[in-house]
Amino acid sequence: MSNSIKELMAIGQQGIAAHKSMMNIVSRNVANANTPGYARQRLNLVAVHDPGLSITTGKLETIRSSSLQRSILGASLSYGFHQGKTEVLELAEPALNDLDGSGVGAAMNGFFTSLHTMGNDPTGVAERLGFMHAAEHLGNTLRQSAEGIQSARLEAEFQAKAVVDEVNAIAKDIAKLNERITADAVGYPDPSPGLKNDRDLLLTRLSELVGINAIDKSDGTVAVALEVGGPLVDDTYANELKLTGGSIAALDVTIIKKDGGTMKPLAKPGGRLGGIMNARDVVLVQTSSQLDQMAFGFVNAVNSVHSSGFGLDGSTGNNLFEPIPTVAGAASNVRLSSDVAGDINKIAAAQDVTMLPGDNANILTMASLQDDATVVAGGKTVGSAYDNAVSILAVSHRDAVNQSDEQNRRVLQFKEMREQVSGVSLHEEMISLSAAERAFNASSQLVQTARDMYDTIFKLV
Amino acid sequence: MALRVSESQMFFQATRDSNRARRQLNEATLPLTTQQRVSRPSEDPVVTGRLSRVQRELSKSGQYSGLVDQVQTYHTMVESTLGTIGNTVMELQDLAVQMASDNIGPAERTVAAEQVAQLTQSLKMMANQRQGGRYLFAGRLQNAPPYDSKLDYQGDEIGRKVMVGDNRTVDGDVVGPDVFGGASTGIKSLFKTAEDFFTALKADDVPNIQAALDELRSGHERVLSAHVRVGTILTDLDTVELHHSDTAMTNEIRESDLIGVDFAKATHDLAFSQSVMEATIKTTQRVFDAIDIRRFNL
Repeated sequence: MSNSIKELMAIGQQGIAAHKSMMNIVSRNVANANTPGYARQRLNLVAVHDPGLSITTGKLETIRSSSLQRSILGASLSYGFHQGKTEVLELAEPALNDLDGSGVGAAMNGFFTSLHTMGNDPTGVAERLGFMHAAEHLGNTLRQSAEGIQSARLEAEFQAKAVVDEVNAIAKDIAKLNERITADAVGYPDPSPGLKNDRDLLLTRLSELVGINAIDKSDGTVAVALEVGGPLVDDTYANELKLTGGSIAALDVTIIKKDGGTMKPLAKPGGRLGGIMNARDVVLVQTSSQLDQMAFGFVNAVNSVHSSGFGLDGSTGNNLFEPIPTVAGAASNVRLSSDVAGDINKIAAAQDVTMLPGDNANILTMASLQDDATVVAGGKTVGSAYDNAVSILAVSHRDAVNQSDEQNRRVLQFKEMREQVSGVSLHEEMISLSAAERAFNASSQLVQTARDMYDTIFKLV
Repeated sequence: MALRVSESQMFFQATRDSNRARRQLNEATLPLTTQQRVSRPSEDPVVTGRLSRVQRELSKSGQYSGLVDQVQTYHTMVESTLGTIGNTVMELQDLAVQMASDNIGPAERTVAAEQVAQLTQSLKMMANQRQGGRYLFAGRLQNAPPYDSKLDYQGDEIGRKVMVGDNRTVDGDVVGPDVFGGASTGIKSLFKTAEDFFTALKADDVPNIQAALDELRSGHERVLSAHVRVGTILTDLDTVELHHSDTAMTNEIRESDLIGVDFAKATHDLAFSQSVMEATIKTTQRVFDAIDIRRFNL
């Protein structure tokens, strides 16, 4: 009989212990309801039918979906790429924005307007001064635009360095987490769910930054490689990314391995770093190149006409703009020539020196360059060449913004789906808590009943 | 698996909806504050490209319109001066007709000679007239009066061309020889004719007075021809100006269509965005009130 009472008490105690554990898990879930990346836990209870035993706690499950996590990594990679690209192109866009009434387009229009005005009165001081200022202003504006693009490229380089630093820091953190998970795993089937939650967050951020593939290993650790090839985290060691190139050269990455060796990925990385590099070294280079072609063609054509004409003082062979020897960097070098700067009489309006001071034939020839489709290489006028440069940047920027929005929606959608599976529902937890509390109370009552039975027996003795 | 909704899911949705509503509100505000439908090229690259071309055309219309005005002003002044020159030559002609008559004596011819001298002086002043700092009849050579003290022509015999439209130029000058003859025309200048007339009157030389009359008639025809040519140029310029004005108006309408704000639509969009924002806030509040865990009591 005493065995039955003892059994009763043991059963009650097991019930108390099991439901207390359950309440602990519920409490942990409730406390972490708003913790980013937290995956709720569920404690399974297992009935035991051996004499003297009733219930035990089974496996502690962390409700996590690996497939959703992979989807998040993939979507984060695309989002990061387009977001990185957007941020760089946004920096460059003001350099080629004429919509506020200023810019190269407006300056070019002003140049030809003042040229025509001078054409009507080539001897007028106001007309000549106006033209010289318009030419100077055009040069200043072109240089500012070119410098704006170069500044954006430089800023992109700083951003890329910051991303690489963050990637290396996160890789080290993931390696440390791998180490801790390995240590915790000794004797436990599913160790350190909190560490895995933290690691998932880091992996998501890493994919957004540089694009990765993450492979879960049987020992609970994760191996991380760049999506374009190259190991980043292997077991408990993190390789380092190094940024190469820069200044006017294109950026590239190299992986520095544990043994000091280096390895180049198969292609440019993805993620934000890839987007920054694409914007900097593809889009802005194309834009800059188009602007340079326009400036080179324009300056050469104007100088060719100007130098063949005659100034009011009879001088000839003078350039209007400083000569530019090569296309590369031309837009950054458009300046009023020292031949004419400060002396309006040297502006060559005439083609016939005997017809000074009123001859305007050279001005008419210069004015016709505005619609001349042979001025810029590729059969473009100066206006259409500039429009091309603006278009390259504007279309790429718009596409990047649209793609960034679209990919961000995908990321949020996958994160929402993950939260649907892994997130904490307070209502669910309250129900579980109530159920556990009732069972705990019932088990306590069992123990109390057993004690009362013991008391009754002792009184009889 | 039954659909479940976690706390963070609800906060995600609330944050996303709120951000979306705020962004729509911000986007609705921009056209009203900037008064432009597009303020950056990336917002609409196609519109930006079209706008650039339209603005270039507008700039050219403006350039050409300005030049047309200036050339019109010049030719209007020339037309007026040619009218006066023509009248002066007519007076000389009338005098020549009178003085060629057998009924006129030497005394009258002497008086007429003084008149001729004054009329010649008027012609010389008109020939060297300046307007806006330019000698009217000097062509491109503007550094000195076109006619010197000997009434020899020192100016340019071709004149400027002025561009008043795409691939369209007009004569920017009427040069002295086209009006007064002389120089490379091979025809005696009006001044020389007037001088010879003066000499013939002083000498009471009727045959030479008759010869001067014939030359004055030719000179008058030349002045009239120049007058007609200037009139034609002015008519052409009116047509060109009308074309530029029409083109400018068309391009202004296109510019407005491309970038102008439809204020009715923009105001409506703003009001709509504000309503969406308010609805989002209230809905979020109600949802979180409804699921408030403090109401949970099992």
